Amino acid sequence: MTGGALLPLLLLVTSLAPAIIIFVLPERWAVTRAVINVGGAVLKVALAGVMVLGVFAGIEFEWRMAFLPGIDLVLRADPVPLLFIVLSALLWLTTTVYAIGFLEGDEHQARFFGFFSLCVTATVGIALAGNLVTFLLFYELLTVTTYPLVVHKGDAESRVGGRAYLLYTVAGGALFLVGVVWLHTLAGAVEFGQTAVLAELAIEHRGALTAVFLFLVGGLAFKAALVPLHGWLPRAMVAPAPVSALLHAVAVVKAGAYGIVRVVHDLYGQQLAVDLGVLTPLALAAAITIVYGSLRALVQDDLKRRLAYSTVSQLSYITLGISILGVTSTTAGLVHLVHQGVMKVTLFYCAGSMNKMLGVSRVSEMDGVGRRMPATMTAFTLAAIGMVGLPPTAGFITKWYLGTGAIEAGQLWVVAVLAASSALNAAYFLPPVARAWFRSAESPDAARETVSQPERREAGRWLLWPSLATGLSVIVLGVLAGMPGSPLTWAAMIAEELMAR
Amino acid sequence: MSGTLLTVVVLLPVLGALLTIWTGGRTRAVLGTSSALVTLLASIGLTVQVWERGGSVFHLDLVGDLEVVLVADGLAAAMLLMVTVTGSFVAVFALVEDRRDVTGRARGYWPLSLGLWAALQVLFLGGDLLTLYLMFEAIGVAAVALVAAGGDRRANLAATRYLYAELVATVTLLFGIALTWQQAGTLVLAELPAGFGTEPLGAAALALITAGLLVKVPLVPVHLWLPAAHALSAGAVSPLLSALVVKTAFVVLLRIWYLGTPQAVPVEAAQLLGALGVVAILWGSMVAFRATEVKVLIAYSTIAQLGVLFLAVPLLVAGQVDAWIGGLLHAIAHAPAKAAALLAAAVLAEDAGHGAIEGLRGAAARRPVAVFALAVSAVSLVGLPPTVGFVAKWQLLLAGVAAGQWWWVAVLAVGSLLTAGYLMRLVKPTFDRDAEVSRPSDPGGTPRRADGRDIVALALALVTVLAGVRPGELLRLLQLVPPHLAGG
Repeated sequence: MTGGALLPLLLLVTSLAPAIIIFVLPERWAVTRAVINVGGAVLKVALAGVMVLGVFAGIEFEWRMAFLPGIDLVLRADPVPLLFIVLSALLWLTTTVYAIGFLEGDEHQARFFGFFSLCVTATVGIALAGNLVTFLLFYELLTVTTYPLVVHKGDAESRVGGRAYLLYTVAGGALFLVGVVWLHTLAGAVEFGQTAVLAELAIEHRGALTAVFLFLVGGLAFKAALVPLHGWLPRAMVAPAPVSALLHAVAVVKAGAYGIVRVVHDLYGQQLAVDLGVLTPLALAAAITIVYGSLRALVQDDLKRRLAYSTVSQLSYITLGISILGVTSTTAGLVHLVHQGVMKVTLFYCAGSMNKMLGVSRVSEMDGVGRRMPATMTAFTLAAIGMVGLPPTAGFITKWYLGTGAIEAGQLWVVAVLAASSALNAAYFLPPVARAWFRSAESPDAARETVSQPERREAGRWLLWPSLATGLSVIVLGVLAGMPGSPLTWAAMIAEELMAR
Repeated sequence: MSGTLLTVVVLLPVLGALLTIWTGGRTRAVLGTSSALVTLLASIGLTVQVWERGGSVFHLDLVGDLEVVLVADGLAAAMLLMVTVTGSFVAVFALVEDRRDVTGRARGYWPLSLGLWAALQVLFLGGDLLTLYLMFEAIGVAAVALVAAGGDRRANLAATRYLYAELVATVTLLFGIALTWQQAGTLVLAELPAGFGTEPLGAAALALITAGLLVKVPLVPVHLWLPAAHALSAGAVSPLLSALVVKTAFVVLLRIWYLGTPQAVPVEAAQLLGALGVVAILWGSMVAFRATEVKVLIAYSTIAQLGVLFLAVPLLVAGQVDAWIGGLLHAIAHAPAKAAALLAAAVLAEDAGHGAIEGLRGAAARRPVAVFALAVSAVSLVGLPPTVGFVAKWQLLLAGVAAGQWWWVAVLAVGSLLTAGYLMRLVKPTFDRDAEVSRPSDPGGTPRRADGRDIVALALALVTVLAGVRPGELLRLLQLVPPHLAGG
């Protein structure tokens, strides 16, 4: 096996092997477990880096194995996968560090970190999948390996949330499967990137291809939490903070959005999707989701619920971006894969830290938190500003490109959606920030026992460093967006390549 | 020589059964397990031969015109592997359990289970109706005896009902076979005259045989004997029944319909069987949603899963080879998953001190390996990748879409959702943190997180993953059948 075939496999192994080892290790070997976890995560980042350099040097990374009759399991480092791989490798590293700190002293850590690693293995598989069947395999693996993480706390609320999560995602998976099977009977074993195959097929099978698109994207929409299929997401936020962070930033919901990106761009091709007339409804669904999610977020007092509804909303920027024809809007959609991940992961880290250190879980309890946990709150503030879309943050870059892309495509209504959404973003993200910094903890409505002691209780470094690292990235990604190698230039390059196909 | 190996495969479990009658104590269990494992090796050898040379047929003359015909084709080899792989894991489980002597198992377990095993093998190899009939008898007797060996009154009642069902099925089957003999002059499937079954009496013969087989499967609405018999039998018995015995009638049905008399099956009859399959899925799922006992839930899940098998029938009649592969693979895939689930359930019931679903609360902390085994089995039963259950579902869906019979596609999709729903009832409570305190089953003993049995259950469950990641060989094996399938 050459290096080109080995590397995609190694990217899987760097989290699969830790998972197996951790399951077998005794529960009390916390240090060994941490070393294996972080070691695997660092190795994965390094391998992802090697892969990026290799792709730019013109090496093809592809691994395949016979699976079903006429269908291979394919892992391939195309441009879009590469972006997702780097994102998930980096955020897995920070989240691993955070999770080790967050769960310190908790029970069942072997189980938690074992499934945590399996979950990342599945995500990497999803990222590198070279055809729909491979994608499906890892997509469903992700569904089942995330379940034990969602119910990790083991209380009644978690178990109910876990049930909702599983039933929604299995239902979505079933729809998606029917689409995959149907497409297979029409087109045989199509791989991602072979958009010409479907373009040719569309001459004869227009109706069938449209229906297949509905099945595929309809199935993916469950995980991507498009309204009205989003119901599981706010319920699943009962999971421990690092799980929510991973779920909302790189794993489950992101897998749904990423799947939509690949179906639209790498399977159908944007032009064909436009011809079939399926993109406008998708854009509308995304727009409705953006506004609806924001409206619901506005009225949530529970911080993590507010963040969950914010994910519903923010994630649809990706879908919206790729469903508007044009390089600029596609760039926006692709770059938001990265930006949303970095911002949302920060917010969940900080929410988790606040809850762990101060017992604060509601927006109404956040008074004075800024003085007690200034570093954590700084990270939170940066990410929140990013979500609102103020310059010079990463969120601004997305919204700017999305807006200009929509204008280029002549879809002015999108600008209105963006404006409304940004106003709503500000309305639900700025109040908690303002409370935390400008209100004192002694105010009458927050006279709880834990909060009434105003001394500093900053989060420990395991919790703080990941939060600060991702929080600062929100600014760095925005300020340095024009630099070569930034996610933006990368996304723009990919978008041009995709549109030229 | 192929013939030698075939004889070895068939006779080894018989020898094991005889040896375990005359030995006792630990020797009996060790001998029983050894003959199981050697049979496994022999069946792997036979599979390799079939793989390399294609199928082969053996004739053994009995008195008069009667002869025994054994067909070692890809289908038979695949079913033998299902029996020997699943059976071996169950045997090792029983060996470990025997050492702990927790159930005070009846003496009969080893001879009966090995006898059952031998009969299953011959049945899957059987190429003539007489052999099939005799083996159905042997399987029925051994299975009923194994259920009754569970000991208590309820098990005896269940065994009695099982026996009645078997009698009805056998008599129906026998009438059908006698009529076939009278009409066709032969009982060898491959020698049935072309067009047999299209004339009224031949059709009646096929209908009687089919009816008898449906009771044996069992398909709704003649399933009522199954749940009690499967749920009340001992930990190492119910996997043999639910995973292996229930597959016999389905495979024989396919052999007779598609390898014996491919032209005689009317489309309406096939659609009707498919429709009964749908009823089985819905009914089985509905009861599984309301069950309070773990093994009752699993037994009704078996009813539903057997319904899925019959979705393959109308698609097969529509000419879809993928339905042949998918239906048989579903039968095979179900075996390790269901057996592992039942083994895990046995361990977990012992841990809780009773078999109610309520007893699973907190089990993920007390017996993590057994719960993991249960969960992996559930994933395969639902039909999610990367398990072999998914591959089977994929093939069936492919056949459904290609045949343009969308209603079966919809049923398959809804069926897996229902399966996920009711199996969720077993997995969800295991994560309950408020109920994690261990309750040692034997007072004074220390609670254990896992013993050999948990690991056996998990290993068997992981077989579904192994076969699910690399299904190519199994899929090809199922297509190595006598040539008349290629035409139909």
